[in-house]
Amino acid sequence: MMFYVLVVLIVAAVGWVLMTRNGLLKACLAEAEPPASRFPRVEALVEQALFASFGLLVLSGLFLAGGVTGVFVVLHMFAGAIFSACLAAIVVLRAEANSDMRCCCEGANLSTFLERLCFWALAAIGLCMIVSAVLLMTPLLGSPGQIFVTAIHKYMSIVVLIPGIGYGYFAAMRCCLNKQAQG
Amino acid sequence: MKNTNAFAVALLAVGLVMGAPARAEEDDHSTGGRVIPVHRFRLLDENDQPVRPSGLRSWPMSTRTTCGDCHDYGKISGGFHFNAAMSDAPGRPTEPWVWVDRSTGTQLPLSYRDRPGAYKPGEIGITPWRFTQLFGRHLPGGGVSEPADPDAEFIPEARWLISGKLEVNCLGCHSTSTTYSPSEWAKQVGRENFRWAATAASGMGDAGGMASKAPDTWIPTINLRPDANIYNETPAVRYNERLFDYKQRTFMDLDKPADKRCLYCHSTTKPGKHDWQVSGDVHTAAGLKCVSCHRNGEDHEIIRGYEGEADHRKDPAVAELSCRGCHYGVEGAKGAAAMGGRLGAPRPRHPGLPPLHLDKMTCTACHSGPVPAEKPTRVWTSRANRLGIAGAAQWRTDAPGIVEPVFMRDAAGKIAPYRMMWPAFWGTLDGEKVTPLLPDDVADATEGILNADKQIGKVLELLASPVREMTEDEAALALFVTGGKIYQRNVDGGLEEVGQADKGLPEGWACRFSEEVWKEVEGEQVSSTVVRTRPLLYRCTPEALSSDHILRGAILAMLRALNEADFGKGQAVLDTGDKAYARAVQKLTEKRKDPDTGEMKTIVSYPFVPADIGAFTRAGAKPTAATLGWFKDGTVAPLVRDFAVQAVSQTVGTEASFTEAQVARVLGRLAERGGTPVYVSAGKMFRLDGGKLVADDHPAAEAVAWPLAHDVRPAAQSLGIDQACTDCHAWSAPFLTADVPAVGPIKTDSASVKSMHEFADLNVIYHRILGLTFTVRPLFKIFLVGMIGIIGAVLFVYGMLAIRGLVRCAGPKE
Repeated sequence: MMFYVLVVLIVAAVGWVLMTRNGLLKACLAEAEPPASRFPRVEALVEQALFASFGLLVLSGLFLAGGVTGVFVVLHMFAGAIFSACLAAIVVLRAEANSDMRCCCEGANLSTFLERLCFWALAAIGLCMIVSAVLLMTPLLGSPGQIFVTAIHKYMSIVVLIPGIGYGYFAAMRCCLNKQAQG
Repeated sequence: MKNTNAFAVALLAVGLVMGAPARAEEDDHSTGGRVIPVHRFRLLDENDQPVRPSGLRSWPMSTRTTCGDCHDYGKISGGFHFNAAMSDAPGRPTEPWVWVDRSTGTQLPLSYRDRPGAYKPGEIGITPWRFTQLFGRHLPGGGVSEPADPDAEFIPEARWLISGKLEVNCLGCHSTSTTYSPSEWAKQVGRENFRWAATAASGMGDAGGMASKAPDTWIPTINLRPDANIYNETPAVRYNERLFDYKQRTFMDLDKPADKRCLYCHSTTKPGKHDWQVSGDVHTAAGLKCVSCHRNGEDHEIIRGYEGEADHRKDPAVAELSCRGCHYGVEGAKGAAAMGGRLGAPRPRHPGLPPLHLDKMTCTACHSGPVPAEKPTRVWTSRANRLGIAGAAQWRTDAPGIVEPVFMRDAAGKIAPYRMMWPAFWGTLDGEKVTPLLPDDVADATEGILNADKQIGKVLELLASPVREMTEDEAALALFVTGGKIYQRNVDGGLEEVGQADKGLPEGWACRFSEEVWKEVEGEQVSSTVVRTRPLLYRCTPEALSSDHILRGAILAMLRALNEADFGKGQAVLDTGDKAYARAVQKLTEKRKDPDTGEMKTIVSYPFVPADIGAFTRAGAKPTAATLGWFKDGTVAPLVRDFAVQAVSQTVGTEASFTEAQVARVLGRLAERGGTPVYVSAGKMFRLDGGKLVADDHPAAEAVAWPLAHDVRPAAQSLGIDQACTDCHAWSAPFLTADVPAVGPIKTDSASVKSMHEFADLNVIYHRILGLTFTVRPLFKIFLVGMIGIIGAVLFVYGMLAIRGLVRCAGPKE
């Protein structure tokens, strides 16, 4: 129950921030120099797959919170495979573009900083989630370990919602801006 | 006055307080130590009088008085082993008692406890007396077998006053003596020597005689007929006097029940497996006894050890002795109980096993019973298949057909392994309800229809001697040929296959004999013995019938044997195809010369001869060779009807006892009584619909299942060991998709066959897909590890760069 409450609260909080501060963020984005993109089409494609699988993971994960059983396990694993591949790809493709975090220190625009923060947070927490998933499938852990790692996986999945939604928002906006610029 | 009252009340209170411990001690005969005291005492009979071991016809010991002298017999007899008919306490289903009657194809599950699928004996007309007769062999006594008021059972068959009550057999569990014989208990109960059974089984004395043969007027206390012969004499005990001391006390080697005592009633055997192939329970191998876990107090409420028992009994301490309680500890408990490891139980690590399995399945699902195979394993259980009784007679039966493991959900919704059998009985259908007919009620309807093998076996038995006479071979056999197979009579009176028939050997009665054959080898006559299998009357021709005296004598002997056996099918005849001959007396007048006087005398004799019966009609096809038959009402019929012959070829050597055709005939007979007769077997309900046999699904035909817990396999043989998730998670894992065909006495293609997942209520499509994912699971793991490597490497590199940047930021500016 607590899990569901936390998920709802986080999604609502992030959504509230993005919706109510939409104008500000848009303005920030408009002023921002979009990070350099070496393979924009590939990146866009990978990001779309990443967020689709992320959405699927969230939805199927909601059903698994009560017990890891049923058809959603298969769905979750399928989405997890795509998510991990996309995350690895996007990390490789956009690490350079998101590497300069000085934008915050030097008073550059907020949105660029938030996007980069979300990017690295997503990468780091995503890595933890993949590691915990693999650990659960290996004979390294006994029952207590399994229960502990399952809990880690479960509660990190709540935390990852913040950078996940955030980065998704910024990526979408960036995509829109790129289209506007091209149009 | 007031003061006096107050003083009296105070005295009473003090008295109560002082008296309380004394009463507690009186109730509890424990010495307080862990040592079982030596049990040396005088035996008491059921009248509470000391037994005199020196008498030739002494009274048997009574456990009620002897054991009850120190222990609370009333409390004990309310324990789990004795209270089936008295207790309505909730609990996990137990194994039902199964009334097996082969001659009527009955396998009726019975239980006094309220459990699904089993019939309560009283509701279908089985009296406590009958129940004790049927199952006393494996009953521990007490309960319904020890009626408080024997006169209350007003039925002619109940003879409690003669047999005595079957008291709680304390020795059956607690005797550790090697002379205690459960087989003797079973035999004594079979003879209705209920009050003598415990004494005889203990080995303290020998109980001869049979209460079942005693006349209804026999009174044990008067004990008439002391000189009757040993088989007919009324029961009495002759004690082994060497076991008694000068005070007429005897020593009883009593202790907590040894495993061998429990296993007499609670063991299983797999048909076809040798004793040496059975390893037993891993806990036994580790040195535990049955009673190490299955404990009880003086109330004999034995801990059964299943999950949820603590809730049923409202006693949290019981949970400590379940699988989880011992190995993991009790959730929510404090101290040692929470730690687990009781009796040195190792704490399971279950590496790689998603914890969900521990919530959705019982421990026994992966650890107990045989490893799931394509079909569940057939198993005999002590009580259902009458195991463990040694003696000249064969007690063990193949029926009922019990299988294990079948995975089903228990009351808590967890998947657990079960044993399963399918009821088989004749009954009447009234609306949706099927009421069983007891074997005694259908015996006349099944007579001559079922047990085709026994019918033929009986004829073979009768033909055996004449065949030896006819073939002049003492080892000659009478045989029956059908379906290209040759059958002979087995020790049970049925048939067993002894080979394939040659092409030239016609179907029907045959004989096998040895013949000496002479051959010329290098100019010398050499004899050799040849075994031949021929039609029974292969020598019978019209000429031989009149000239071959040996043949004629053998035929007459066959006809005589058949007539005397009284099959009720008419007169036995020799059927040569065109003519039929019966055994008849013929007046023979001969004139012979007296060797002494030389005078001619007329001698009249009346020998038996094959006499032509004249014109007749024929039932069935005309035989191609001489054979035997029945002559009745002007019609000659074969010795055995066609449906019986077909039944033999279809059922002998198989699990089944009879065919659908036989069932249809019996149902036809039962229908003459009125109502809608049915036969329940093989998971179906068979009934006649317009003269045709149809098989329907019906709740009465559903399998009866009860959970299994033992034998527990070693951890190395548990399901899913060493990451073998595919033991269960595979496209065609037996755990999920094994076929569970219903077993029963009828040979039918309509038998119910269910898949394991139907019993476990699992979604097979989902589980098959999930199983498929396990085939790519190793690749999936490698893939994820690769992704972890890539993401980790990038994070590491940029993390290092970030640290470098931070260090530069924090350092002096240029």
